[in-house]
Amino acid sequence: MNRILEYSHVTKQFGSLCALQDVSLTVEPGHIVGLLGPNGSGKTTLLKIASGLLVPTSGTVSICGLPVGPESKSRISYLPDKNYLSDWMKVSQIIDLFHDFYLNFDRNKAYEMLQRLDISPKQKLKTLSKGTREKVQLILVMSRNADLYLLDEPIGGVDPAARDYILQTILTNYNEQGSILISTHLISDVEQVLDQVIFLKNGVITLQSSVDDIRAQYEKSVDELFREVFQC
Amino acid sequence: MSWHFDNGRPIYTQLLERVRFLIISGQYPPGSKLPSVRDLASEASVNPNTMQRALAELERSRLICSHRTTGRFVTEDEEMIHEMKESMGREKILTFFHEMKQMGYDRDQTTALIEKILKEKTI
Amino acid sequence: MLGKLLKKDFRSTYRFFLPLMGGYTIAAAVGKILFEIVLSVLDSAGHTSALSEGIAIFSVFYLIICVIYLVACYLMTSVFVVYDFYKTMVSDDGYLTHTLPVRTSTLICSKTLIAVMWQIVVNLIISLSFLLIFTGHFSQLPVKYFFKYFASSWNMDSFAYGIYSVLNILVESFQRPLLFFACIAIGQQWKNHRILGAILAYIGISIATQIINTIAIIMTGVSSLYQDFTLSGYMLYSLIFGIITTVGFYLVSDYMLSKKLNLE
Repeated sequence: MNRILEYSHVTKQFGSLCALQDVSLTVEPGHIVGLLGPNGSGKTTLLKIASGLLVPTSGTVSICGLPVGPESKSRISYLPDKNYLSDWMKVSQIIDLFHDFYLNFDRNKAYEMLQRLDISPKQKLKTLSKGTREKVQLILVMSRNADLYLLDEPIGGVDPAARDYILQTILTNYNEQGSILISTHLISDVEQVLDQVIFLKNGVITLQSSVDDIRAQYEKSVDELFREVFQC
Repeated sequence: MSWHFDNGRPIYTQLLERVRFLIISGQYPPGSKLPSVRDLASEASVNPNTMQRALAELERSRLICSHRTTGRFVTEDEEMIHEMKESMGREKILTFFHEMKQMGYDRDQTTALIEKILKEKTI
Repeated sequence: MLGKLLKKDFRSTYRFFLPLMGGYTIAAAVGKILFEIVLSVLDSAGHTSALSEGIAIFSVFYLIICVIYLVACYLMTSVFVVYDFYKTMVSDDGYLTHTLPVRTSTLICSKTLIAVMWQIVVNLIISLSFLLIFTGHFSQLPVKYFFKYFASSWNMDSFAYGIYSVLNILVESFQRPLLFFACIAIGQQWKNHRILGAILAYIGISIATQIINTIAIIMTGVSSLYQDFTLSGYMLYSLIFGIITTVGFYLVSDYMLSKKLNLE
């Protein structure tokens, strides 16, 4: 079986700023991986490269053995850390859009989740509160049966109850053939949901291990280790 | 409601202990079918791989047996469960006595205090 | 995929164009009514009452407003096409657009075709409105002579000139949006100076195309044709040059937005 995601010596430079430096990593199918690092460590850049929004300065990326392109994009479900849906659209319209473009989009699942969260499909996106918009964006991403989910700070600006719901949804969506890569700096909330973690500091991977191996070796939680490693 | 975990120890060990507790305390009776890995993981809000590892360990200790097509079941060996229960109970009591000793109670004082409390309350 | 993109882009643009064209149609209809009134007032010569004078003044005023609206329509068409491209391709919405399972070239094709479509629609509606206003009064307009005069002054018959005009308009309707797209595509790579970058790119490209055009004219000897006022050779040349620059803008847009994409 193909590796879901593979970075090989990827470097990304923005002028004089080096956002990622010689990054190599592999994600096998069936894992929920945490991409952990402080703000500005390159997490978003890393995710944007896999999803096709940035081209590496050097190095290669492959998704399920494919290079970045329309085929890989159909297999990746990416949740950015911002509002990326057109304001003027209604929730139902954006669902139709996803249904149109993505074969692996499950419309029924999306409507079911909307209903459970009490969000009316007839509303226009611009009338929704920030938290609700984020939930809609998450629902869209999780309603796809993708091979790789890339979630950029999915629980960042959200209240604790919503956080639980999001983590539950992630767990429910887990399947042995696919993987989920979550970038976050709120580690204690997600730690038990992850089975592997990658530490990213100033564009360099400093640690790549399973959660339980870290706990066994360092006798601390990943959150505690993170605080130690990245203390200001 | 997700289960709570200590920081300094692997999660799978703690899951293992929790499931074992559920079995020993009778919440998963002998011979009963356990929920699927996914369902258990979802209930505990943990990664399914981690839950899988915990269950695999319990299988190794024969507390759980897995039938490939039908899932995982609690052992029907009630004797084993009973032994485990007693072993856990012993450990708890020994720890208790050790802690009481640290507080300054010797063995007889501790036993006397226990009896006193038993007379006062119905536990 | 192109069909789906066309549908998507149509949806995001028609909510602007529909009211714009709707408003214009109403203004044109009112204009027609006024026009007829004014003409009938003028026909009954000698009767200049205060009312008829008032109507005449109001009509002139209205005509000026209509002309402004007309110019605005043309302008807004370009402005909105550019705005839509900017918003969906290089601003936050780009996170959705560029993660759709399509090639960048297909995205650009869709945007271009929609831009061309709206230009054609706007042109048609405005032309039809003129037709509407002047119906029944065509004999009074020197339209035929208008064309013949232009054509004869350049030693070609009006038919060929007509064909050239149509082709020229077609090429320009592709070229204009693609030029803007290319400028935006170039400007977006600089995180903090995207719009400035686009403007500089516009200036740069305009100057560059002018220079290349001049050199090409001199080198191909088309200029000598120009001096003899036989412009048919020159017209063929300008069409070809237009097509080449259009394709160039397309390629630049595709390259910049697929290899040098820098959304923020």
